[in-house]
Amino acid sequence: MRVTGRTTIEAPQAAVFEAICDPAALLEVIPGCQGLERDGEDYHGRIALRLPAIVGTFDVHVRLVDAVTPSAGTLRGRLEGRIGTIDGSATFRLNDDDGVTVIDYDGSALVSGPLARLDSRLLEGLAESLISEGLSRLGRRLAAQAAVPA
Amino acid sequence: MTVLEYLQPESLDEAIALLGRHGADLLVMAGGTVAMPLVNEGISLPERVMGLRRAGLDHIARRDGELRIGATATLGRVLEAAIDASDVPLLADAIRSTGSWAVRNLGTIGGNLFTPPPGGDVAVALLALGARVRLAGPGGERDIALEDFFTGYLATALAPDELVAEVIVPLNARRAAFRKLGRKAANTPAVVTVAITLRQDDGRTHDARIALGAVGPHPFRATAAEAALEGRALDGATIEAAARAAAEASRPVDDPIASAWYRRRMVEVIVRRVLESLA
Repeated sequence: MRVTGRTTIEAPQAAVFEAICDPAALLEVIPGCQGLERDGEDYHGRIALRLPAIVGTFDVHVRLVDAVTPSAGTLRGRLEGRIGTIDGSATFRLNDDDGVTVIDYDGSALVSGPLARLDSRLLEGLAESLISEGLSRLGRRLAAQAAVPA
Repeated sequence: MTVLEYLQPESLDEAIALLGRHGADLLVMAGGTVAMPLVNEGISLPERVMGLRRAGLDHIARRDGELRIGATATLGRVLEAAIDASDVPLLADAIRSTGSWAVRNLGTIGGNLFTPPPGGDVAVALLALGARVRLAGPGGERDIALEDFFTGYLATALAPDELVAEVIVPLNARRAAFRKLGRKAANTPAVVTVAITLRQDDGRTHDARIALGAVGPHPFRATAAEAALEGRALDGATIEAAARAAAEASRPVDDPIASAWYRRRMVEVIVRRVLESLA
């Protein structure tokens, strides 16, 4: 499974990078995320997937590698659940565009277990849908933060 | 299969309360034609399943110039009602093209809205008909136009604590036509599904609604193609322009049914044929 995309977030590059490194922010923006902790470069947590017809939970073990503050990084790891296991990595690049941030991402994953029986088009659609929901939540969170200066 | 509990609410209020209580672990099921195979295969592992068949949402009523269809009315029953109503032939054609008799006798109009492309043909007809969806949650009910209901692939405007309660189809004397292209004549996923309704006045076309399915992340209206018809006679050049605009608006993908390239070509061909049938 391969997922690539580009999106723009109305927030400065540093704020976007900071959110990606902040488990509290990620907990809020990852669809179905029920808990997330950071231990150095490692993130551990749990995601409850709830879509039309598909319900299941995953234990998440992800590591942030090759991070270049505040412009790039790679998330590598595994989502493990009874409906299947997803091993993969995703590289992201944050580019400053006059105060807003353009995110490019490129990820690939190997799906195994029952989930792998699904049509690859359905899996990729699912992944794209979850990523775009997560990124739009990230945009909303950062916009709300900008509106209320700390 | 490890479902711990099967819940069967007997009213919409009870269903909403159960949804609020169990939230993330709950699989909401209407006819089960999509969900049950996934549960049986271990691809979906909910702790609880809520079946809506006894929730009193299977009404089909004609009121104030609208056809009000409860979310769990089966496609088979809606087909009978659409044939009786005779002023929504589009809906009847779309349902006939969906699944087999066995699937239509279980599958529901509400469930069909959640069937990802290349399935979900009924929604394409409902879009062209200008249908609304009534969503019910703890805060009450709200109506939303079907085109605003779909937000992405397997993503809708439905909040986590809401259910689809009703589909409302306006009954009006618009001209309408539906065509689904599949790899075989029946019981097949779509290469492309096209539903068009429009009004004609003194030989000119107005308020056309051109809905496409299986060529994007969800059923959608080709608004540029609609604009190409506005105020014009349905002649060859106008039809060609609208068909091309529809093809340009589509965002198909490769899958085992057809390539993206073939799908886009077929959007143009099928939109043209459907418009010619209305000319």
